[in-house]
Amino acid sequence: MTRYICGECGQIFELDVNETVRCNFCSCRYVYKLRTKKPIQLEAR
Amino acid sequence: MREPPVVARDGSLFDPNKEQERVRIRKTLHRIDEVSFEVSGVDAPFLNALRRVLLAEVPTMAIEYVTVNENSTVMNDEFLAHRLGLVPVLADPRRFEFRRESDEPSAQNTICFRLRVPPVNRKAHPEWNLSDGAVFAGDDAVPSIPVYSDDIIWEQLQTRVGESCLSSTEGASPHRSSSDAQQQAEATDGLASAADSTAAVEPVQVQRGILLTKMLRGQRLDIRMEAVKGLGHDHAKWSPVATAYYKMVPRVHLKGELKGELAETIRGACAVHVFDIEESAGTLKVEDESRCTLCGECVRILEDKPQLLDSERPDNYSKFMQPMETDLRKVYENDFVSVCQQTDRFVFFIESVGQYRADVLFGEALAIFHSKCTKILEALQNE
Repeated sequence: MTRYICGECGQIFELDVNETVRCNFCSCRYVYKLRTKKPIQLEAR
Repeated sequence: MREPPVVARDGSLFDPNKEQERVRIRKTLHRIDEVSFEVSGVDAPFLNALRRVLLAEVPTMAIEYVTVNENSTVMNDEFLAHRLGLVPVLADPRRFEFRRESDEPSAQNTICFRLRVPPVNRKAHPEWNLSDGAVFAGDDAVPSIPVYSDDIIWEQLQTRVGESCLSSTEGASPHRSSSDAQQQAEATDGLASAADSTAAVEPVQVQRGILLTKMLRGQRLDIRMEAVKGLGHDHAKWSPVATAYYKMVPRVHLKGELKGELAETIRGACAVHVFDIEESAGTLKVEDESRCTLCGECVRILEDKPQLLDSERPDNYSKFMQPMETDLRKVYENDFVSVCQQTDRFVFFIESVGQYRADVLFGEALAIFHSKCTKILEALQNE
C-alpha cells in the first residue's frame, strides 16, 4: 500500500498494487507519488 | 635598500625609490559594507590580481551539506538546496578551518543550521474557504506562505559516536521549550556532543530577509544544513564580495577660466557629468574626474560650434592629439580642455556580502596575494 496525492484536490490516500489509479475523493485520474520520508543528502551547489 | 626600477607596460619606468612615484591611497567612501579608494602609483595588472583574489580566493563560510528530512513543497530538494547554499553565512571565516573529505565535522570546521517550517494551521486562517482535506484551492482561496532565511536557525553541532554528522536526523535545537528538556536529555545519551569539548560555541547568523521558497497549506519543511569554509574559486557562493572592481581615472584639465556659452557647451557635452558650473563665479569646474569615461566628447563638441573658438587663435579647429611614440596614453585636447589617460591612477571599489568588513577585505586579499608570491619566490630560491 503506497501513498499518493491527488493532482486535482490534494487528497492524500493509499493505493494497492493492481488497483485502479484514481482519487477516491474526486475520482480524478492524475495522482502523484508522495515524497519519501527518508532523509536525502545533497550538496548545495 | 635600493629596489630595482620596474618597467611598466606603457614603457614608463617606475622607480620605487622616488618619492613621487610611491603608491598613494586616498579613501573616497568608507562604510561597513562598501569601500572605495583612489590608488595611484600601481598599474592595472597588479590591481586586477587583487580583484581576482577578492572574488575567488578569500575564504568564507557557506552552506554545503543539506539533509532534507521532509519537503512537501512544490520546490524540489536540489533547487531548494541550491538556494540555501547562496544564503550568506555571517561568521568570521578566520575562526574556522577548512574541512577535507577525511576530516570529521567539528565545531572548528562546520556550522550547523536547521530550517523547520511546520504546516500552516487552518485554524489560524479562518478566511480560507476550503473543503476538508483540500490543499490546493486556487490562488484566491489559499495564498502561498513565503519562507524567508529568517527561519534558518543555528544549531549546536552534534556528532554521534562512530557515525558521520550528516546522517544524524535528530537535532537538539537550542530553541526547544523546557518541557522537551527531559526528552532531549534522553535523546542525547550516547551522543558525544561537540559542546563537551568546546565550552563556548557562539551561535551564527545567516543573512535575513532572503526569500527561499513559498509553501501552501499542509506542506512542511524539515532541513538540516552544514556550512563549511570554502573559496569563490570553487563555487561563487563562497565569494566574500558582492563585487569588487576598479576603473581608471583620467586627468581632466581646464586651461584657464571658461564662462558663458562655452562653459555651458562643455558641461552639457559630458554624458556622465564630469563638469559643473561654479555658482558664484560662473566658471566651469571639474566636478568629479573619476566619472570620466574618456569619450572625448567635451573636446570634440567644439567642432560642432566653431563660433565659440577664440577667433584670435590661428588654429580654429580643436584637435585630437595623436599618441606619441613613447607615450601610449590616450589624450584628447583642444585650446580649453585636455583629457588624458593615466595608466597608474585608479579607483578601487569593494562591496562586501557581510562576512568581512569591506575595509578589511582588501587587506585580506593583499595578504593572500603576498603569500602566493612568497611561495613562488621560495621555490625559485630553492632551485
